[in-house]
Amino acid sequence: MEFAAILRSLWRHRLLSALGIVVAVAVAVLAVRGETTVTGLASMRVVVETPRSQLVDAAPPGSAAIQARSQLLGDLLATTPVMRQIAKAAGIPASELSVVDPTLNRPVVATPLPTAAAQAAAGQVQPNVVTVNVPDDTLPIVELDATAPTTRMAVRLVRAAAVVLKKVAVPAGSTPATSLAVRAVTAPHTKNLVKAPRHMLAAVAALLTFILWCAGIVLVQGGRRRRRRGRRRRTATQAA
Amino acid sequence: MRRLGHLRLGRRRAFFLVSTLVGLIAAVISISTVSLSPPGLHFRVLTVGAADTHVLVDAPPSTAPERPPYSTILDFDAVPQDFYMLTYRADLLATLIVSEPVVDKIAAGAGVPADSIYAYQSPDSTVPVAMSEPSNEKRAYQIQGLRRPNILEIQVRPSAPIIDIYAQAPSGPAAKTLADAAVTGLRRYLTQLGGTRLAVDAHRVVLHQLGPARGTLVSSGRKKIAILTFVTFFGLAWCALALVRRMRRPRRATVEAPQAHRPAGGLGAAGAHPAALRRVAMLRAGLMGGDWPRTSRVLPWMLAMFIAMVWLVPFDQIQLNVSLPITLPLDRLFLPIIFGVWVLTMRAGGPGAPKIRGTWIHAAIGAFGVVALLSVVLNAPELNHTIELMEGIKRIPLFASYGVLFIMFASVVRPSEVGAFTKYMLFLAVVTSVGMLIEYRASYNVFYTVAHSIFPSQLFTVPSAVDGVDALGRRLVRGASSQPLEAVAMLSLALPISLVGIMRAKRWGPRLWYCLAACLLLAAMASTYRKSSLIAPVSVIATLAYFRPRQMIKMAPLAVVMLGAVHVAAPGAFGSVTAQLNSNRLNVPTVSDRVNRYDAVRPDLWSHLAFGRGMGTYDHVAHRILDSEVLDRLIETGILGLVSYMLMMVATVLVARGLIRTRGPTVVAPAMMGAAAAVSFIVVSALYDALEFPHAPYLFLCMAGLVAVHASHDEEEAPGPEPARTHPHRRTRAPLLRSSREMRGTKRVVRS
Repeated sequence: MEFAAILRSLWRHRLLSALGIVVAVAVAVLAVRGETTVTGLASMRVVVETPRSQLVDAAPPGSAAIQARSQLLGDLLATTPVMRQIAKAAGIPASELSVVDPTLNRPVVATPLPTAAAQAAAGQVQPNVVTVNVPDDTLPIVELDATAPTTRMAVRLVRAAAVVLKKVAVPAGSTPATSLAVRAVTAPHTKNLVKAPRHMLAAVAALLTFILWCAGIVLVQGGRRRRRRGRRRRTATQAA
Repeated sequence: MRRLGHLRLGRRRAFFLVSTLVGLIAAVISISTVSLSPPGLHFRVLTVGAADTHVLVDAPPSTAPERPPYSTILDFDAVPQDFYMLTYRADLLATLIVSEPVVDKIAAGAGVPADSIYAYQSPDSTVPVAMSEPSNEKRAYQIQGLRRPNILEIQVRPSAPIIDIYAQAPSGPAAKTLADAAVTGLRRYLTQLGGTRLAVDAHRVVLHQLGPARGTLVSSGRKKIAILTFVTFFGLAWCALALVRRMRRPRRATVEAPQAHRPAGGLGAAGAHPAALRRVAMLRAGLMGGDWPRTSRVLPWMLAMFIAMVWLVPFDQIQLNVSLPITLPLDRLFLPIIFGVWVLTMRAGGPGAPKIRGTWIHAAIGAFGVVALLSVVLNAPELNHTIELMEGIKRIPLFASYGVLFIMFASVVRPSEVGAFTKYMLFLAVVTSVGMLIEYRASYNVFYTVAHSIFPSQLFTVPSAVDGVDALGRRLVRGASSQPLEAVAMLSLALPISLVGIMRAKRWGPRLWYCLAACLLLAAMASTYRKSSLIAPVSVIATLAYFRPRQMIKMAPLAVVMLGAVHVAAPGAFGSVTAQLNSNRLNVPTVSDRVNRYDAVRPDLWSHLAFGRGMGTYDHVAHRILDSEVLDRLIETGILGLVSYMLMMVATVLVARGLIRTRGPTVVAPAMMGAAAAVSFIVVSALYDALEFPHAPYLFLCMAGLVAVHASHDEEEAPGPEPARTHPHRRTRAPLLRSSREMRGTKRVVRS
């Protein structure tokens, strides 16, 4: 019943309503237009091992805390000197590289300042980003993900990060027998991330525009009618 | 006519100009400091920058000759205990950062005065909340400290030796400098301490800063605050002017109204025969689309579907998977659609179009809305500084949705539909109760499970109902709500429908059905194991006993039968609830914490006495869990907010009381239900933060809406007497009331 009244209002202004369709289509066209951007992604996993591999040895020294150590080793990649080494190995300026640990981007206690600061920090990333992550809390496996303008650069970044991680794990003056080992578990996987304007979004925008247009017509018409009625009532009162 | 037209345009222009002027003055004052001597206007610094950095704490390399020079992280001989020790050390260092000597060094490094920095450590996330909540004195110091321009918040990871440093300063670069200075300040302090107390440098802890501080400007402040203030004060000024104009106009119209204009037998006529009135009402109903549920009108059906969603769907937990600045739970998806149809229907006009008729309940809800909005706007600069302004702004749509639902409900539903709507709500409450009893017995939440299967996971995020226990070991039985207390509040709002139904049923059949419904509601409430499941029904029964003492006494034997039925439906639940009320068992955290909170919130209350710190800005994670809507209102909206909040329920009771006294046969029942629901909502407001969980507020506002429907249409009701229940001295009031209705009817005729 209500829709009948609304449709009647729209029918009275059918030309204006039809114009709404044109406007909605225009909005959809504008929404579809836009640049398509391509980002290269690469991902690689490395395992942090005790000197005597725990895959072979039942109880090698250092295996008790290897998981906690792998997480902290990954975090060490974010320090400035190590980050410079990664940039150098990948052949890019250090100022164009960020190393991010996603777990550090989530505050332990989500109070307003840490939440805002973490969001602000997350928005301050460089064109090349290496993300260090430990996917499983029970395994000494570090996942290295890279985002770069091309997949080739992304692969170079994850390889460089893996090499530097190996160096960090084996400090100067140590031998392989007395230091941790970092080995690649998988070869780098690559993917192109294509960001194109979404057609679904354009359709929704067009529909919303048309609905708002029609609502505007009904509202304006209702307002005019009310004003007219008020004027008529005043005239009647005056006449009385 | 032209002259009148010109006058009208002039008045509107005057409204616009005055409102704009008020809005502009308020906006300028909100973003600047005005001084009278010497006269001047200085813009405040309202920009806020934030940055973070992280520090990894490592033990020094071993100096033992047989061990390689590794730090703990790289030393493969290190055991888990060594890492725990590092984590404890990180906690200690975090405490050190906020100490005065280190803050002095940080200030020197950042190039700011030491007294402009407020540094504090967040509570340990591994410690129970009740133990880490700030004390009265600590909170008072914190409120003072958070007004300083530079703030440092330090947190420690519970399972890793990492210190998180979060800095706030008037700009992004300044915040980054401050965060970096915190690391260098700590290093310098440790070096200084090592130089004086430690002989061997190699024993000093190693601090690895995990990358330079990153951050930027998080709030430009000025524009946001100015726009918010302007819009608020513009709207308030316009509403005030319109109200003044409207208040002046009817008075004139009443004075001018000649007696000859009074209709002889219109609907407003008091002398009309009730049967004739009913016939006219039926004719009208036929012309206007019929009454719900046999209606061709869309809006009542939309509201009915919304109510069904409130009862049966965990809608506040289900969110649309779209990246937006605000979260989109289900109610915020559907309510705007209903609102849009409602507005368009009103504008399109016609005989069935809803009309807003103001009552005191409308006024009370409006007053609360105004106070809530003002609490955010007046504190906007301070909230902007503590990065809490957006929290307040984001809550405005939630509270607006409450008000919108009430207004729509009161304008769409007709008096002749109120009975059907109350029965419908009772039916939904019974379905909820049955679902909760299944959950109690089988640990299977029907509502969450069905929601999982209905809403596609590509579009919506639907959480699972975790069958856990609370701190006291009580099971979580919650139905479609997110908290057991919320479920109790929902059911207690429906309980009056069944009890009034028992009272008013003329035949045994309906009476038994209402009895069964009441038993199920009480059993479902008891199945939550919450003490409130006894307190809330008692408030409902007490309210009904106040209005109808004799009938409630007559129903007393039924209470025994009901208790038996509750025990059968939810075995053991009632006993465990009553056992919790034993004086020996009342010294539990849920009781003692609630008592302690009244003292602990004093600093927050005294610092913002009238309007509070801002609606929706008291973060329970950052400050303290309150578990009380009364305290929430007191802190967030001040004394005025609490008074206006309570006024919503009190207005409902008072309006309902007026309707109960009119003794109209169709009016008394919903009025009593509304009054009891309002009292119950006051009681549950003291027991948990009722407005934070939207199920119960929506339902209360629906009940209040039903009362408002009758209050605004009372002249259209046939005021039939109730001979059996009428008290002798109240009979004399009927003619007086009728004559007042006549007056109102006259006014309305003149206005139309």
